[in-house]
Amino acid sequence: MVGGRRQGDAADEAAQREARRDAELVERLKKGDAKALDELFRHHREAAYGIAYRLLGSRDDALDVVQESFIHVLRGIQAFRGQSSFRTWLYRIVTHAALDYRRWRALRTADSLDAEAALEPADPAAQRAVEEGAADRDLRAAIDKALANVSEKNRAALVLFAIEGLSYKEVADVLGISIGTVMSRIFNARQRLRELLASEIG
Amino acid sequence: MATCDDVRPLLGAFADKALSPLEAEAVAAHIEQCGRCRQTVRDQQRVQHVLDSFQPPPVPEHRWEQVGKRLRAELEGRGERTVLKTRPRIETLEPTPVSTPSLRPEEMATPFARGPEPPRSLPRAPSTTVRPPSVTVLRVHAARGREAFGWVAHVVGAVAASIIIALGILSVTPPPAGPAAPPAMATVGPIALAGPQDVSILEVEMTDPGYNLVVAAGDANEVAAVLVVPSRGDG
Repeated sequence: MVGGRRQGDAADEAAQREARRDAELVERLKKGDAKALDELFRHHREAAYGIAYRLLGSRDDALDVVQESFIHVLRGIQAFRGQSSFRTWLYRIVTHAALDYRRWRALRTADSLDAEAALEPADPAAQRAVEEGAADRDLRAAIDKALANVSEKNRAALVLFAIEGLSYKEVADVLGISIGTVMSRIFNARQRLRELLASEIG
Repeated sequence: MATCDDVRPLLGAFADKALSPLEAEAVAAHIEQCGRCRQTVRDQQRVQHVLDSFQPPPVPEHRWEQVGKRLRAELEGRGERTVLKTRPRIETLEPTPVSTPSLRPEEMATPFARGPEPPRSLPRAPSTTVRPPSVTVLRVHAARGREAFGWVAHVVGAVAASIIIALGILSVTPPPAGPAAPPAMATVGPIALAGPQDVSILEVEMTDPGYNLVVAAGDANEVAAVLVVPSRGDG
């Protein structure tokens, strides 16, 4: 696996520890424990945001989706039986919520110029807080734009695997598809990005 | 030796070192001889390298706090219930107690808070019906049928739903006194279910004291409407 993806027994143990911690927090949350909610939110908010952002290309929209996803979690928590890990369950909710949101936004947004404008962070203070070079910003904008031109299914698989660091098996679980399909979607998504980002990555 | 067509589906996973040793060995042997597939693996790795360094813009802490506050309010039942722009699905919510807020008339017409109206699978109530009832869907349960028999279940389900609706309408009798309000078809959806391959059993309860639920109706994809009748005055 590439790029910081989990490897080996130590990583497996860490993942199991996380899963046990989440299971405990879920049980507390079912009893209405607000601190358990805070902890679950704090542990998973960045990853949820990462998935949503890469599927939507807008920070504000991604935050909306994170909020809605956690509301779905709260409304469905009593029925969550732990058949999958909380993380897998949450990522599945976030992925579907982001894709739903994208369709809703597409219906609402008459032309693509608005969507393009949405790629820019709306909060100038936050933007100032980001100490990043112009080159990084350009590359991110180029990747955002390229990802928006990858088909929805392929992009979801790529985002979960290549960017969020899930294994092929985990992506298959989250999306409810076979590992073979995951392989093919990730491959096709990267091939498409290779075409779209030809000038950026040589 | 494996051909290009054989190994192509595996090249991405090979670049990710996610293949079994046997598969990896076969692909490695092929790309040693095939410049085109070797280049494809390099392309996959190059794109991945770019993606590895791709970070979304950070979120200021105060924005996280706003979301956290909103979630705590939801947990504690404070504030108004949000009509979400995204729809809970059976596959996202494990077995599903799905709640939607009591729907105001305008929300019945537009279930998305700010969006255009999505297509419906069932006709809307005629405008001559009584005041739109407030309906709360407490539980939507979908039982996943075996796909091989999915079409049979669909046919059986459609016939059963038609009979139930017909019986429900026939069994409605007006209240003993006062002007009788007619049955009303209240749109509560769309609440998306898993997909056309699934057989759905819908259980919908309602809490509006002014109406009694007769039957919920929908198709394999969503709860589209519930037929309700005015209660007899003791509720």
